[in-house]
Amino acid sequence: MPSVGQVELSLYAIALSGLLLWEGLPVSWRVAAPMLVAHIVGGTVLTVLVVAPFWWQHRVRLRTAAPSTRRATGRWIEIVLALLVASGFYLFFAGNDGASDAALAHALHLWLTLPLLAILVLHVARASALRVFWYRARRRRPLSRLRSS
Amino acid sequence: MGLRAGLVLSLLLASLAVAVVRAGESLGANGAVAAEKVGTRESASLILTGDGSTFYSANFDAGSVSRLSADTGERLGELRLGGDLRRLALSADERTLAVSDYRSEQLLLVDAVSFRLLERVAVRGRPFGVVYDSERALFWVTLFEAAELVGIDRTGEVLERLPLPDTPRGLALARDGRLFVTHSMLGEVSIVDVRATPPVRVRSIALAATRDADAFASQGLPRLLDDIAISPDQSEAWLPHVLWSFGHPFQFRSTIFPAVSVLSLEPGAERERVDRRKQLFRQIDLSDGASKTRIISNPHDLAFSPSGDKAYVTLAASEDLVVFDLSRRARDSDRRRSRRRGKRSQGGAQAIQIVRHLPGDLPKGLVIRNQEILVQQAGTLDIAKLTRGGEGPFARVELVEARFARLVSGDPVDPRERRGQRVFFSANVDDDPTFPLAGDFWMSCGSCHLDGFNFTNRYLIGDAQRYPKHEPGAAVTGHSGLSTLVAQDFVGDYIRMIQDTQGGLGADERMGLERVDPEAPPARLVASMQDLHAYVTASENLPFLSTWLRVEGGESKLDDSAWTTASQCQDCHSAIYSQWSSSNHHRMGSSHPYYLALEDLAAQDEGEAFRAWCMGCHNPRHLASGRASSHALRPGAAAREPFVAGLNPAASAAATDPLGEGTDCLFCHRVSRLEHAGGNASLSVNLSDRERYPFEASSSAILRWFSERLIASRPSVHADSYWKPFYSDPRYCGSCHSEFSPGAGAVISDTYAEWAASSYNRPDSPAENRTCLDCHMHADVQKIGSAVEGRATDGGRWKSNVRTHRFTGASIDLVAARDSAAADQGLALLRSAAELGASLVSDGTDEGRSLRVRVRNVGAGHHLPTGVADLRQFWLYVRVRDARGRVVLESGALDDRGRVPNSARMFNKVLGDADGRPVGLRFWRYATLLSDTRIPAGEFRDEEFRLGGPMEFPLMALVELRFRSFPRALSEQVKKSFPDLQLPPVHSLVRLERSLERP
Repeated sequence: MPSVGQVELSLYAIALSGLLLWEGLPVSWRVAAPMLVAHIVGGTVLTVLVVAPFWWQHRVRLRTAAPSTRRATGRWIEIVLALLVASGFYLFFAGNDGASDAALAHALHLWLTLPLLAILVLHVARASALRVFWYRARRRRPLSRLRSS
Repeated sequence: MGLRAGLVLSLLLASLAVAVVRAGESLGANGAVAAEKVGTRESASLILTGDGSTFYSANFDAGSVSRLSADTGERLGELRLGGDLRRLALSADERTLAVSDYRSEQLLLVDAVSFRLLERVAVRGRPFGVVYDSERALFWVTLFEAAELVGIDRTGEVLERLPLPDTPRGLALARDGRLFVTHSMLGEVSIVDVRATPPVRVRSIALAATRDADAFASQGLPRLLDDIAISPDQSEAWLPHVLWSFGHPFQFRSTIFPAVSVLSLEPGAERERVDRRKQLFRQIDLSDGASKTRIISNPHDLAFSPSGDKAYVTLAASEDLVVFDLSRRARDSDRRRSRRRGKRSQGGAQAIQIVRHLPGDLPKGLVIRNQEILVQQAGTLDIAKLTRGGEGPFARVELVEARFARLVSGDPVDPRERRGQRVFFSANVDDDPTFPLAGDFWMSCGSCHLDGFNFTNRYLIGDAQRYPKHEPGAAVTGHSGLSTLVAQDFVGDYIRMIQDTQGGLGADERMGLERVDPEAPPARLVASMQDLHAYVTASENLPFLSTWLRVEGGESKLDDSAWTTASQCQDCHSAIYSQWSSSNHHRMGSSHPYYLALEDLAAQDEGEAFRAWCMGCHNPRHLASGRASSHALRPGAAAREPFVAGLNPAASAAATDPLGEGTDCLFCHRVSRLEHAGGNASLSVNLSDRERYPFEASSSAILRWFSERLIASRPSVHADSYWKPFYSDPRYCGSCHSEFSPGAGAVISDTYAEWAASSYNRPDSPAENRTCLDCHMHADVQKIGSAVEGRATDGGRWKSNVRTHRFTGASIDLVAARDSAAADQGLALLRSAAELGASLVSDGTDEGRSLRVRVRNVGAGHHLPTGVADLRQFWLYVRVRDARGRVVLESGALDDRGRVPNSARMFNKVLGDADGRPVGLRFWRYATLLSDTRIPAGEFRDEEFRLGGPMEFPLMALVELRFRSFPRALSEQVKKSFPDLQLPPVHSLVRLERSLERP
């Protein structure tokens, strides 16, 4: 069963690869083209093998987790992830051909990414895989010394 | 007292001496005041640093910039940048060097200290002249083809853009901020105020175009204005150029004249001093030992002596240097004092010396360094050093060192091409006295073909057409008397050109040489002509010779695998694919029976190589991929194609040729460059420099499917890689829908020019402007002028206006076999083109009655007919019955063989050959226009039919404008090879019935 950290990092990787595809960023096609493949293939694989199993097993805690804010953020993550997966599948199979529905799918797929990341960070809180970097940045001490203190 | 006076005098003399020495030091090595560094103010290919110690050379097609010691000629460094480097300029602090790359369309910024490339600035439109403006810290660059002036800072940012009249080329910046820009093919000079932000073009000076009844007197249109030099006192500017005189058949002594024009630069009153223009037999009239005026050709670059008393001009074709003495010219104020009116004006400064010849090949740039003249030779890529010989009027220029400096470590150009370049640009008959390339140094190919073969070609044709015809209907603007229009027998035809146009190879009888037989040239001359051919067919010229099609992306031809077939585009653009599939843009090559018949006829007459001219427009994919003919894979095979209604075009295409035919999606949408040269497929296709999606070219169907999904999920890169702004420019259509015969330059058709001259060309009024696309790519020709909504991509965005790819036009009958709806649209378009009117006219007698029929072109944005106007059949059918029902007049009825009789009133062009005989199907041999009854856009043509004999009124007139896409006789001939061909029917386009009372 994938760990929290694995799921979290997977979502970060998928989000980052997707953000690099945003045309508002000056990313050359030489970078964007392989990133497009990575985002689609990697995102599909990680979603199927890492995120989905974790979600299936983890969602029982929607009723039991404490505090209640965690249940709320979890619910939101669930909704946003569902929209991202659905819009992603739409963009892949139907295409972003400029029609209104494709434009909506594209907008959802792009603009829900940052909220997802924010909610995710709130949801995992101290259990975040990013805590290592956070504490190092704050205290400027190696983790081992943090633990000893 | 004497001692004291002597001491005082000595002190005075010493002070004076010191002052003189210091003044001399401050002049600097090049004679300019070196107190302030201002950078390069005149565009040049050879420049000197302010202290005169170093010079920089732009080495043209050698693709490098060299830095050399001005004292020793030692090459201090060579920076290889590629491309074709034409002009360069130093910034005021001499730390930045800007170089124009004409071919790669970039301005290159170089660190002049470390001599390393800093930046490549893309500037599309053939960047040429470069100067540095120290006040604004900008490099000003002319874009020769784009007709713009741009200002670029030292970081490479384009800060200013100013549209200019066509062909801006040379630059000279005066100290007061006036920037003088020469317009090479217009014979004009623009004055731009670059102190204003944005810069403003304040005035334009048109150099005088002259005519003289004596064809051999210097005259013509000022052209090939490359450079401009401002005199040291800033009072004048001199421009070396040529004069084109095309009002008679090409004859070397009366077609091209060398000239140097003089401008007065009085602020606010700038004008040409026509009286001071330097011309042969006037101000340039130096004789050789036999009292014959020495002929020079192609003045190129000019430099003044530091004092301004001398001007030196390189002659790029005759390979000379001419010296003008300004010190003895009459000043304007002298006029009043002159007692001898006849002597009052000698036309300004006179030429006092011709240095014949400069060593090396193709002299271009020059700089003056005190008493030294350094001449840059673009052909041999070296510098010759000469001495000015002093300041006085009797000073003589002499050669000091033939190869003072070598500009490059190695010449990257193929040796054959380099030799061919010399043949093309040289008029130096002394280079090869046995086989001189010109008569008496008069002209070279480069005297008309500026920089080879490019967009300036249309100015050549246009200027030739400006003159009244020396013979009625004369259509040839170029070389007449060619054997195979260059294609097959290029050696012989080059010789004929050199003889008939340039007077070389024995054609100038005064040179006493035996005229070379073009049918049996000597081996040495054959080799020279083959070298010329290597230059003519270089990638930047005419790689496919007869056609102007080029392939970009570093390849001379394309592999079949490089072409994606249109059927792949069908997956997402099914509607557009379907429209194109049945259109004439698709089916105009390997499956078009008339086209194949004519391509075969052209090859039979002019040689197999001549097919390229046809294929450049009709089957460019084949040509670009190295195919020699439009016939399918089996040589000589004819593709039996879907003229039989109902046959599946897609299946047929696969059965014949994997390259398909015609111009398909990938061809039209990967044209990367348009060169407005007058037609003949003057465009470049680039398949390689394209943003690609992963797995696009995979052989695996699954991966290709995946690639399509990638495109669909992020299509913007795909769309951008298949679109250029000029795709909607009428000149793009004109690149094929205008054509001229190769070598002869006879304009066979010019639909673009017809439209450009019409009232539909209204770029200033979008509501009234109608371009080719508005009619011929409109989804519903009944609604031209209105937008038609739809989708360009299956399931894609709904667009307010979608272009159909049916390319609706007049050739409807072959289309009808594939797509009846498309044929209906074509017929509707034809029917909307004209209106009929009928009236009776009389001179008062019974015998003097006529029926006047007026045909007005109300709907076509060009002539009616256009294009293949020599083959299309538009004619009037007229039948008049009197009150008793008797037919009193009938005209235009088909004969019993189904042919239109000769007596019918046709609207067409009848093309004749050089002897005035109809060319028939051999339209490429067009040399004389026998008749032209076409109707320009918005105009009308009246045809009168005499009515004779007794008749009772009122009369009933039936008038029809009829159309048939091809003549019956031609169709029957073609049908022999293509038995399935349906003979084109006659269509009634407009019908009028009118009752006519006695006048």
